Amino acid sequence: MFGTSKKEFSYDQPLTSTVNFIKQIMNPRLIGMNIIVLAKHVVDTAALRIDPKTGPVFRGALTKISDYDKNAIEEAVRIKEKTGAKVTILCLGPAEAARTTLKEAVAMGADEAILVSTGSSYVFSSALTVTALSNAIRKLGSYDLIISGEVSEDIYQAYTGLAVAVQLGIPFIGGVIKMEVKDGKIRVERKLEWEVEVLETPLPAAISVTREINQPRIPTTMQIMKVPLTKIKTITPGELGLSEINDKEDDLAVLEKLEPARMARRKGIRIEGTPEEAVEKLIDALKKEGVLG
Amino acid sequence: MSKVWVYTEEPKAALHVLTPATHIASKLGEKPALIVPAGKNLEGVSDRGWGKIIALKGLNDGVSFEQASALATLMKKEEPKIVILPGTKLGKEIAAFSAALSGATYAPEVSDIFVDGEVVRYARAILGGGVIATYRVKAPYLVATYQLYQYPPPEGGQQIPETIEMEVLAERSKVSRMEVKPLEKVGVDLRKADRIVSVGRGLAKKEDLDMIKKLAELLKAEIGCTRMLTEDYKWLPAERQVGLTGVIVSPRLYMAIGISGQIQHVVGFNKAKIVVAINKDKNAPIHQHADYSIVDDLYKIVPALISYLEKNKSQ
Repeated sequence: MFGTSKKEFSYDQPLTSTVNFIKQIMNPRLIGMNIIVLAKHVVDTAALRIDPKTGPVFRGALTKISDYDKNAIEEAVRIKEKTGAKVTILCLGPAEAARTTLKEAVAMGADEAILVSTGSSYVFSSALTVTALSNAIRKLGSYDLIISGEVSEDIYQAYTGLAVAVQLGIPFIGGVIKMEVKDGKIRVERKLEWEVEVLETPLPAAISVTREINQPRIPTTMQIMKVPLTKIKTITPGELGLSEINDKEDDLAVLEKLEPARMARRKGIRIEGTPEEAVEKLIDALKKEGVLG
Repeated sequence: MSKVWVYTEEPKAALHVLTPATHIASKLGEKPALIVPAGKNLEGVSDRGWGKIIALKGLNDGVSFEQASALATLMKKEEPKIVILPGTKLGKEIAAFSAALSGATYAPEVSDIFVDGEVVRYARAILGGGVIATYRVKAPYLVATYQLYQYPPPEGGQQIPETIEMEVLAERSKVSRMEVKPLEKVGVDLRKADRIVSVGRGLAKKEDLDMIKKLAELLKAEIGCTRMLTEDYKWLPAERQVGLTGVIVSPRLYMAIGISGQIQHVVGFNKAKIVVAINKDKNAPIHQHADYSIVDDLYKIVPALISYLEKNKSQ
């Protein structure tokens, strides 16, 4: 699949990159892999207001791309720069994701982005999400590698990427910290509690990556603004053979309640004084609590 | 066969989930069943009150997909209601694969599972940990994991059921394990720490960690931190990250230094006995989650703490 040597493909030299670009156009075989990145558009939990009585206030909440997915996009774009590849972003989420998350992904270097739009509804997770994404991927045709972030920032299930791979019948490896594609195979490293595993699987395959794997590039506001909307395609669940995607219920579970987490009651004692005085008072208090020594 | 199962590739890890599994099974008037790959040493595990022990033959160690495939086959055959796995990294992957393969509802790192007659519900923290979501299970089975160290295991010395060996159909994985290397540095396990000194982005530069290390030494504490320091700055390794996406800790003393107190971090130390906050911003949410708080610059308080502790040590 990669008929050209790494040296020849160095992206650092603008001249070779232009040559490569022409080569890629002339010879489709050299375009390399088709990579699909699964990205999620999430509520920004750091800025989410949680009413102590009623729970999360979604109205007017800020939304953004899930941080972990930026590492997935970065990894895909690096493969593209190194060996040539087509990078397609696939996202299931509210219509607004097209203007933010998907534009940002394209500005990072993806070739195109597809949004399976749920209209105004924001879906945490759903059995239908997995089916919709799998159907969309089948519709896209051939692919070599599917990359997702290890978890999503809103519900951290670490499930969608894996379940999509199971539906497509391809291998999945989660929590990747290092990867290399070679000769139609992918070799990865991942950390377990006490060891690092080196795993290999033939392509097509799916992986999820940790935030440790790379440092995602940050596109400028101008770069994001300049992304033409023609690179972003919106499709409906209907086009994938699904009815409306419900944010509360699917075949597997019903979301019955969202309530504020109960936090431990604390004493709330403010210690005043100069640093020296405050420190002495603090140590005295901790000794009385019996938590020192 | 019991309706509540525990599956693990690492028998000792089963002890982390046995207490909730036993509780849930008792609501159905039974004892949980233990499912393990054949050939595992069950010493110290088999005598903790299992109703049944099943050893699955012919599985490749460490290959999560094959174990999950065998487990999914067994689930379809024996129809349990709830399958619980300990939340080790491999445990979570086996759980997710077996749920996807069997059509189960998947619930990682639950805070609770409720059984009410035929109805099964589960609760888990989402949206940074400030929100608890409760779901009703519609699928025939629930596959759930619990974080490790949530519950102490039940007593040993109970009747040991006979281990039944079974062979079930498992799909082979295309993934090959080429090499397994020990981690260069086996990380600290903050879940076992008695005292933790934790830092956030109030710390101006990496070199200032020396001062925090000094303080931790004097307090005989481990160092913890917020997500910013592991994932964005990469100053400290992931295992030191306290919070919903890091570790949930329960020390006697948790000292939060230069930490703003975002909910996803706060839920990580919610079980601490005493919490101290040091942050110069009087409006920082961390002060609302502290037993003792000092509103002052950490660069004044930490050196004062160090010199006070050193002085008192030498006396």
